[in-house]
Amino acid sequence: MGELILNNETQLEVCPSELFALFGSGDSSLGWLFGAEAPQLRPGSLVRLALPLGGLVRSPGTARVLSFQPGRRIDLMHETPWAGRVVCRFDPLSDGGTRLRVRITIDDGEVARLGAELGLLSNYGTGLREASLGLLTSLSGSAGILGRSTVNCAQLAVEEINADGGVMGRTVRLVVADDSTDPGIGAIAMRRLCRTPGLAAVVGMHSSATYAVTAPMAVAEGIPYLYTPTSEPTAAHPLLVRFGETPMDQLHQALPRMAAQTGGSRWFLAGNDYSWPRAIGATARAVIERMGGTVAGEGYLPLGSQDFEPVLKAIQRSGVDHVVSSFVGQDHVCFQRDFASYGLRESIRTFAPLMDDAVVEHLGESGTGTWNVLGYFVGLDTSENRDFLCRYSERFGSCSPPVSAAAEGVYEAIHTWARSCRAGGGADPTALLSGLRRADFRGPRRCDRGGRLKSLLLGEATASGVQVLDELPAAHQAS
Amino acid sequence: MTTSESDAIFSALADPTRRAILSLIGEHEELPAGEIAAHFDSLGRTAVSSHLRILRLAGLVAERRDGRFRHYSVTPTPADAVVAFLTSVYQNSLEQLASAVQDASATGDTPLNRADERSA
Repeated sequence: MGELILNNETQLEVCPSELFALFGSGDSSLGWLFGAEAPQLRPGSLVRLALPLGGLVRSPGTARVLSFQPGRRIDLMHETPWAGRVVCRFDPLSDGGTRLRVRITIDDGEVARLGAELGLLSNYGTGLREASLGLLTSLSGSAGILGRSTVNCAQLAVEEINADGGVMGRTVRLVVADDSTDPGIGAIAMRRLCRTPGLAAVVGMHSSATYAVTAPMAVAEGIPYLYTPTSEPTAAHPLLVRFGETPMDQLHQALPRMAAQTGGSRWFLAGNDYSWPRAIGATARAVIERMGGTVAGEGYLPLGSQDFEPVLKAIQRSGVDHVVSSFVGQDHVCFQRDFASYGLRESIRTFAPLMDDAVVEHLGESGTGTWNVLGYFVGLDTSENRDFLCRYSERFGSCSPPVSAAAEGVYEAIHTWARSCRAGGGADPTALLSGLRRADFRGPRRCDRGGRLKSLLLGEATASGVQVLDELPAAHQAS
Repeated sequence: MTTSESDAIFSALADPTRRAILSLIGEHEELPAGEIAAHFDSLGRTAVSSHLRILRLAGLVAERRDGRFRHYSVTPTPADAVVAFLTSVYQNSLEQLASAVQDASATGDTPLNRADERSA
């Protein structure tokens, strides 16, 4: 595969070691690359970016340190909103200054994806012996900061399926599209995916706001849609296959358990303002009232919010013992950080239904003590999970973004899709759906045949990852 | 591609609405302005027209007039636009770094001192 190489350079009046020290301070006046937020500089560490891609708010992005030599070189892997390698070289000049050269390498596939997303290029030609599998996810916008490990896990699943002979003799080709955490852009991306020759199915790992727009498109086009994240129940259709945890799965055992631990009874419900956080709010209220607790306040802010003060002040005034926080992506990270710096972390426990290992990497210590219930955390101690994590790190290297529950869910859904096609005797919708209940993929999660979750994990955020506290039956199993 | 052409492409693409408009037009051979505006009804027609003008001036879309109607299509040689966009994103970052370093050495208030505090 070819690649695009961009070379940029500039000369600066400071010596290489001083210039090197500027990298990662989080001071945006230094430009988005050097002004990135990189609290630690070590191979594999996260770099948080704020890219000036238009709009009032800077677009969040992520990169990772691959290696560095102080005063000489920084080698980064850009992860989102696009993937590429960025090498910064610092050469001393005779006048004491520095010649800074930045070399960016982006592979052709990623250039084609960006071009297709801008409407500029069509990359969707497919060979006759290929089956295309669409992945609609967020690589930009608020949820984009968690997107790279989702694409990696999808890629890993597809490569494993192809190594095992593909699906009914056809090689599977992954086609990735970005919804930019925006339903309108999601609809455009979905329409483009639906035009892909040989499209067998679409895997969706994005907000339920996008799902509300894209699921009817899949039904209208007759394309199976495998929707993987935690999400609220919506109208059922045979073509719409859902894998994620429901609000009831996540809340009905964990909230009473948290209240028993704190001895408190007062709750605040906060989150972004669209259907899923509202569904979490409604379910939380029902669970809290059933156990005799009180919802003392609620606050919802639009996706892409920067200012959480109104909600934080309301929480402070409400005198609650617990918060259920259903913010998404960058909003989730910023809310939790502000929550900690307000000093609320000491007296108030948080349940955050999107907290997973990838989010915790962004939170650092500010997420400590937060609980969540999901089908997967990296700390799941089973041989299937250890094997999976080994394969992930062998494939993407030690400096790759951590696997998240969201990303691992995509891995399982794609394998379940392939097994279903084999069991049903084809990659067409009828064969897929008839094979679904017989698909017997055994991945890290504990699932029934067909990928329905049998049990869930209760996890607590620490500064270094999510600690698995307990295993719980899924809501439909318990009732 | 000249610097001013590549700047025009960057400015045109450095706006999420314009990227969405371009992506929408790219889905079709050609789209009438009214249909484009209908997809972005929260923006209003005037705002959509002004986005279309910027895309046209950057050479990213072509306009065809048919009586009172205007039709838009994506211009056929735009692979360079992706390259121009990405180049500008990184180059702008380095230019900002250069000017911040220059300002700091002129005024004595320095991001360098702040970096020292961080590592201390």
